[in-house]
Amino acid sequence: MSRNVYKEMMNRAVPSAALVRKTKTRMKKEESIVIKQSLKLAFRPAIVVVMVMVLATGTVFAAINLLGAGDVAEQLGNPSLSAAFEGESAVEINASQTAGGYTFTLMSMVSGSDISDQRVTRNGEVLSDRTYAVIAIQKADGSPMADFDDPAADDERFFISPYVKGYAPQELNSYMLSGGGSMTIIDGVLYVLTDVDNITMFADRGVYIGISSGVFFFGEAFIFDEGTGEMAPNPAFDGVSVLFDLPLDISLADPEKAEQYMAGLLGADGEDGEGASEGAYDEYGDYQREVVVEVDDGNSGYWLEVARD
Amino acid sequence: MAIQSFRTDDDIDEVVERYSSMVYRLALAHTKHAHDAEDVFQDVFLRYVSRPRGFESEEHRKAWLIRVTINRGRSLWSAWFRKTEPLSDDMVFETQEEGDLYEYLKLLPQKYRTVIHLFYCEDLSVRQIGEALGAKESTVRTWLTRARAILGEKLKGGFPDEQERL
Repeated sequence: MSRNVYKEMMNRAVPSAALVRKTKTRMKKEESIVIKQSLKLAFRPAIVVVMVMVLATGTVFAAINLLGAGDVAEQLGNPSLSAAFEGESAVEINASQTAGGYTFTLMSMVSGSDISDQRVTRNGEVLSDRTYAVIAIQKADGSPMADFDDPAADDERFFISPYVKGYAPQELNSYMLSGGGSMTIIDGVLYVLTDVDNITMFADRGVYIGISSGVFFFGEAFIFDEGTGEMAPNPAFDGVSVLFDLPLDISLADPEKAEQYMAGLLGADGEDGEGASEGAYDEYGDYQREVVVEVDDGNSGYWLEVARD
Repeated sequence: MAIQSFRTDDDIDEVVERYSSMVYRLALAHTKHAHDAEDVFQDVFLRYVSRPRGFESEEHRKAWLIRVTINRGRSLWSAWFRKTEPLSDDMVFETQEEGDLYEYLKLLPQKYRTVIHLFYCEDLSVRQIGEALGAKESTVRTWLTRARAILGEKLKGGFPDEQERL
């Protein structure tokens, strides 16, 4: 008997599509409860970190041959955001770091309400006050990034997330901030336009943009100093791990709003994690805490849903 | 120009897509019954949601899923071990050889079936199997040897007894 007989036989045993679908639905319902509970546990008095914005050691300024952030937003079908990136409130950064054979350039960021043609909702609530950032990712050797339909692209996927000093990365990251975005490849450069809830309220603490290998958050990617609340890339991590300090204007910090934001994630009543999203479940328990992104196509006047979880 | 969108809920979709077959197959091998395997499948992924956020590595994530699948399979089996209904055959066999193998596998003790599955289907090393089961490597080797010996006696042509991956 060949050793493959067993493997080939078992490989034909696959879960039904209905089972997979049902499981995902239940997981997403469960996740919203878990997130609220974990935030409740994690929530603690703020560690105020007065920071001087210094770009990370090893960071170089290099944005040669890259599109502008406004151009990227335009290419991604978001002319309003493109205009915002060209406006005065945008913060042009253009800081690059090279790691793992890739050069990551944090190009620009902009925050504000209703500055995007994309409409993101959570449980039906429109999330209009957002922070947007554009990151360019290039192969360090000058070769093009793999196209999305190329299997090699699986090795060129990165988890991009803001992290706030004073909070462990597993406590506050893109998951908590309703993060998402879109990306495209132009002239071999992968441009990522990512959006999260407005993070300028945390400016007095200091905020990072972290990039790590894979599509999941891995705690091992970064080292968190509980004493200082600061993070650093973990040199022992098996993959890319880079951090950029965001040069946020400290005068934009709003500690009270930040505290309310965190409390709001616990639920409207702030008691047992029930409340805000409780009504989002139907009697069959189907998950309805959907983050929905819509984009105005600019022509028909209709909102087109382009991504829906 | 291709554009891709992403959201943080992608984590759930991604992990289920990537590991659904592995978890289901292991649950089926462990419980021998499709309905039980489906229960274990759902339970494992629901527990995934409430795990501590983040894994040290992809290998860490996979090991966690294997370990929890086995543990939940044990719990399920413990809760239902008195049921007397006949085991259903949910597998599709392409050869008589496969059918025979499956019948004999079902007769093996659960721990033997599990090590056979992890070694021959999931390509885990003896060390990795030991970590997943909370057993010593020497114990895993013993179970593998005994399981092969039992299957080898019953199957025409024996059962592959290859060098163990360490």
